[in-house]
Amino acid sequence: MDDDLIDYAVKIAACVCGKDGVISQTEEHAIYNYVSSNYVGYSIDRFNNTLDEFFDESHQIEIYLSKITNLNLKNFIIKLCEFSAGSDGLDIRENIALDKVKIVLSEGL
Amino acid sequence: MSYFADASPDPKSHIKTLMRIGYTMPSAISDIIDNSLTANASNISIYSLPSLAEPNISILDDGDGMSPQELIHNMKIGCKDPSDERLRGDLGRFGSGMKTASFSQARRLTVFSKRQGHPICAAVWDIDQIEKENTWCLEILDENEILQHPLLLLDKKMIQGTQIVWEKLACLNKTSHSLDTDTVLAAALSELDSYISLHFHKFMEGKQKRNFFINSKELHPIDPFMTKSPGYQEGRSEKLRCKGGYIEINTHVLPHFKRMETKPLERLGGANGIVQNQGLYIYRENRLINAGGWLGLAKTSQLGALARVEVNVPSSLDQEWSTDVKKASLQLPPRIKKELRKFLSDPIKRSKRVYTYRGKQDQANKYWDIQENETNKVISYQISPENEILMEILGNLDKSQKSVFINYLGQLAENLPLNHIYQKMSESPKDIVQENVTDYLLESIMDKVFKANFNE
Repeated sequence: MDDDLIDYAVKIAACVCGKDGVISQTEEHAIYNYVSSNYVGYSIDRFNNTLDEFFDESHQIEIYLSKITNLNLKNFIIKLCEFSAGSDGLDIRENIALDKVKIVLSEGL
Repeated sequence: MSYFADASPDPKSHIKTLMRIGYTMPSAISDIIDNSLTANASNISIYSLPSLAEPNISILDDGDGMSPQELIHNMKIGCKDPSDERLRGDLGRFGSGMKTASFSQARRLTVFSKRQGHPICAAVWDIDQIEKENTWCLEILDENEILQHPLLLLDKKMIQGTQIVWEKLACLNKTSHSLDTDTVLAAALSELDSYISLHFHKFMEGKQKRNFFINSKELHPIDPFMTKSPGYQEGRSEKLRCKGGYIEINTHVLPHFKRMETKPLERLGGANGIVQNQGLYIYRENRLINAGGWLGLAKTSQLGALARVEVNVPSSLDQEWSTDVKKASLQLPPRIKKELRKFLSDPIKRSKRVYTYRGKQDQANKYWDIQENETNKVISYQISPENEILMEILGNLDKSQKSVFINYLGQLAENLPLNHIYQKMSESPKDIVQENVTDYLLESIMDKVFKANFNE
């Protein structure tokens, strides 16, 4: 799997969890644990750099979603977002973002 | 055809607006200290000597200092764009703090500065001059004028540093005819001591300790959470990742008043201060901005008096938190409110538990019963009918004596001076000493009985 694509997956999950500009520790751990348990060798440093990059960018979620074309990765991202956003109680705003991820990524599945 | 007209503010009127931006003397000096800390100063000294015909205040630091060009740039009001990103540890915000803080307290601001490898430089903003000329006329002093300046403390031996001098002080206006300038100054410096010791307490200890002085007296930190006192309880904590780092939330429960040592209790404003200052303690880059109050997230209550929630925010979030020019107020973003609410119940509950525990102890007292009626929410303090000594006394009395005595005890309980006890317990609980009241009572009664017998 292309490392850049994993970074996009992490940024999409960050968009869903951090809709208001902050990501809780529980959500952060959930994203990292889910990604690292699926991709051997995924390091915490890479994860931290990706999140720093995410906060420095001001892209909408659609920009990250447009980079995802791989079918397996689409499935993985939907599961990642569900797992991480639900880790500390899914709120309504996160739910809208999650719905958007599901609608966009489900096309072509 | 439309055209643009010059509508720039009139300097004479604009300066008056800047003078009334709402600083207090401690908050204005703190804004200057922010700049010293950003400039990596290790020692920050405030001088304001008494008995001067024209009092002045100097704030001297040994930070990076400024070159002559940097000084002129930084003397401009709004020399930085608030939307520019700040480096971690940068306590500035709008690039207006030094000037607006100074103009709110003094009509003449002189800045001496020296950067390593550059000559000492100085510039002066004088409001009287601005008003007279109606122009932003910044006076630049030459080397001779600087070295002969009577208030210069930044001497040639110092490699680098900055000295801010306030003259023609507006902050020392006498509020009462009976007070002289020295008395007003002494009170202001005492208030300043407490303010700096609390708001910069995180800079006064630890690895990156800086030294703060007022008239050469070193300041000591005031820890609003009393983390080193016996009985302190550390609660839940959480880190939220955000742009530029983390927002850290930690909860604390102070020890009960009775377990607090006198000096730390006094420094936190006594028992009254403890109750009033419950709530959120918000730090921006380790500098305290909001000291207490629940910002609408919870109600202030006597039982929640010991609850404190510490929130550490990086300066990269200034835009989202709407930090103002004075850096003395901010607004909580909605998501943070939501996260904070999760944390509030824990320290408040534990604070209540500390109080409730004390209540149960009182209930165990063999002389008094506390009756708490859960249904109608009524609490009453009653003399315990189970007390052995009372039973023995009553056993030795005849029927009419018993009736008079029981009536007296009932009146004693009914007339317990609750309001007075509440007030004194809130203000100065340590002043209440009940240990020798039995001796005093015996003495008084014996005296009266002896006198009555003697008269007979």
